Amino acid sequence: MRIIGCAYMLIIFAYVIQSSLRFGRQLVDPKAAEDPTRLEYNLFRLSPEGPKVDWGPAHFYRTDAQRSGLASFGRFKSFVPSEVLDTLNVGVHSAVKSSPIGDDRRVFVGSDAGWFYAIDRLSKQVLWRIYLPGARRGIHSNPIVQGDRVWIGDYSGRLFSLSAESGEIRWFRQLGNTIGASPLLDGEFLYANVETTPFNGYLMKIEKRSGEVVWKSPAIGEQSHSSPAMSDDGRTLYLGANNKMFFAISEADGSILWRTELQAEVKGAPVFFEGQVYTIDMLGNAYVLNAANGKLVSTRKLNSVAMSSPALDRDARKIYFADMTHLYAFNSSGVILAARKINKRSPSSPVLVKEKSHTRLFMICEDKSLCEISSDLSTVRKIHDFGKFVTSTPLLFDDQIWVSLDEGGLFVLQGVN
Amino acid sequence: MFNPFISEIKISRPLQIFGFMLSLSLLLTAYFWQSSGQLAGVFSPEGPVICWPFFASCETTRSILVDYHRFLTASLGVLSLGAALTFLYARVSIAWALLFLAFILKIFIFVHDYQLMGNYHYMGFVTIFFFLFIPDRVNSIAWLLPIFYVSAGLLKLNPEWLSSANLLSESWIPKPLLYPSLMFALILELMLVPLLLAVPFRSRTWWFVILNLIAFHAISWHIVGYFYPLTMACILSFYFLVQPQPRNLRNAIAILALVAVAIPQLTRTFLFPDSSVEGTGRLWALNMLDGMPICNSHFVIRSPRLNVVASPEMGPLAPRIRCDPIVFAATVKDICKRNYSEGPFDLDLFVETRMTTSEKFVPTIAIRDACSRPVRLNIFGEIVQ
Repeated sequence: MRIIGCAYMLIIFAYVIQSSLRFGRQLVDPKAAEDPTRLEYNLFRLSPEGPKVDWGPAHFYRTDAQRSGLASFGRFKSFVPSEVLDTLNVGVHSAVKSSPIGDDRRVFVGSDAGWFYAIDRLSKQVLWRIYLPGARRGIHSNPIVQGDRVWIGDYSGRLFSLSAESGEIRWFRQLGNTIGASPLLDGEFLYANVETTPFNGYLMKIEKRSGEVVWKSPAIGEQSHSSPAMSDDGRTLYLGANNKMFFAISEADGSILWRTELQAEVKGAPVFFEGQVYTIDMLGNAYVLNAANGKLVSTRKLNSVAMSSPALDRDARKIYFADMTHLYAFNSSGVILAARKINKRSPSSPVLVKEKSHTRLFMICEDKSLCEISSDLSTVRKIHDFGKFVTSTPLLFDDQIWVSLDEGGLFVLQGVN
Repeated sequence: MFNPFISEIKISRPLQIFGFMLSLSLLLTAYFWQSSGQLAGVFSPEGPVICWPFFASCETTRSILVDYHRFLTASLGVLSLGAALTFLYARVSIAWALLFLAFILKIFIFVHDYQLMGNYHYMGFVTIFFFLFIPDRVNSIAWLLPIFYVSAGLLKLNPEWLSSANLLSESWIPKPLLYPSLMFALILELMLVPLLLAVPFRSRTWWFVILNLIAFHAISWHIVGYFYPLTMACILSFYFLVQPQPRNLRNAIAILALVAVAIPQLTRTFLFPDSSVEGTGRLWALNMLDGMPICNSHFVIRSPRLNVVASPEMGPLAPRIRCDPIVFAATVKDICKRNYSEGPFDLDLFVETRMTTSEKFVPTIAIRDACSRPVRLNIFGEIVQ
């Protein structure tokens, strides 16, 4: 009996010591796990990915990885408006609403009420919907569409891969507390800004087919609503954050290559062009930064606050910035070439349309209207008054313009000649 | 008929007093259930119904609890008070019968909802069962109590306990003293309590262990409230009332009963080492608040052309069961039952869980087509289809 007792004591003593050593790290810093930027979530796969096929061209916010904002659109004398959805956004959160994104057959759009729709471009019928009630502030991020896949992030921090045909969930995973910015797709990878509460955030690289996380950047110190842009060599990602910092992040491993402090937080996606990054902050300062080292090339104080993303005309080497009152044409050195008052009072971003040598811009003007503006900003043509405030960016595709309204529905303007 | 169970108590005044204390523990349960509003909350018509896996049809008789839980609690109080008084006045046959009825009534209430689980009930049930039915009850209970403490100690061998992360509220013990205190609680349960089986009755070592046990439960009051320490006071009164000689335990039934209690504890510890996170393997074992789980759940409700991915709040559930597969299985069944008749509809459930001291969520539940292929729970509390 004594031998059994002694053996028991020895085993338990060894077990206690072993466990104490095993748990030593947590004991030293038991609250470390309360830092939401350190949490690691799991991938939930609902169906196998199948053979690796080319899904064709991708469609996402600001068109390309450099976030040029270029659209393919025709010329039309007039537009016939129709309301596709009478209720889309319900005003549960003041953040910029999700913009429609589409391919040649379908348009996809999220709502701040938590619904995500796939709509047939011709019949304008809802093909399928998905409802994400767990995201209390709904969907503000813009989707990415490529072939039979659509990816969307929600305001509860989950990223979904869906079948574009059926809405069937292929995989999803929690990335953090909120996805408010629009992910970027380049090749086989998605890049998503992820926000955490208490306020912090990071950028993540995710394999688009499998949903596996490749890397998570270091915490950037605040939430980031600025959708990332990529250098044209694909080696660096650029984004701003709400702590006035602007970051360059290595595509290879997610490390922060440089950071530059600006005068205010950046909300819009930056634009990358020929070794420089163009961005605008909340106080209306338009910046040109050296993409290699983050050094400021130029800073221009504009007329009012700004939350939009610039548009890039590569051929003309012009960058169009919009604040809440004006649209500006800059040259690539940061010199203002022209300015035009448009009174949009909206964070909506300009969309650039190039047709042969003719370039136009489309953007929200006078709060609730859509305007077509010449590239030299000399002429403005009002296309349609929606009667409701618009913070999203219009989708221009072939002969249609899709616009989601704040506290309203989804409109399509069909171009006619 | 019950004479074999009663005779040992009839001739032992200390056992009668212990019966009085166990009856008081049931009276205390009745008071706790009534005064805390726990029964009213669990058996409210709107509340979630979470059946124990071994009584999956609890809904059939649940209406009795919904309508009469106050009456049943009052009855539990009256029966246990009657048992206590009759034990006090040495009316052993009546006392035994009243304690038995109170015991059965508490089980009847308890098995109607998993939300009532708690190791204070578990230990009370087992101890009363041993007191009522197991021969050589003095020596068998002398073994039973260390089994409880060693099992609880094994559960505490995790960073949640050692770092104090699982404490329900802030302790007044200063941090520099808190960590050594928690470590000492482990040593107390795993190493010192078993000494009670070996050291002479009321020796210095015996007093050292007993006083530390009393201090442990008394100090826990400010964290866990009154019910747990007072229940343990009733049970631990055993050590002050009887003089066991555990080494003399020879009765085969008693030994078998002790083995039956020990097996689920060992199963949980060694076959389900992550039971705190996964919530499995602890259905028949002590289920103390050994960790503070946080779960991230996703209900994917699928119908043609419409998917819904919900992460519902699971209601005001106790921390120890809020990530439990038993709770999720009940929720899944409820959703399927409410919606399945309305057309093509199915449901997937994905849950990931972590402890507050861990940065990594562990995938704990992943079930597909839960409505068309109904879920059930196996004896370990795991969801199977």
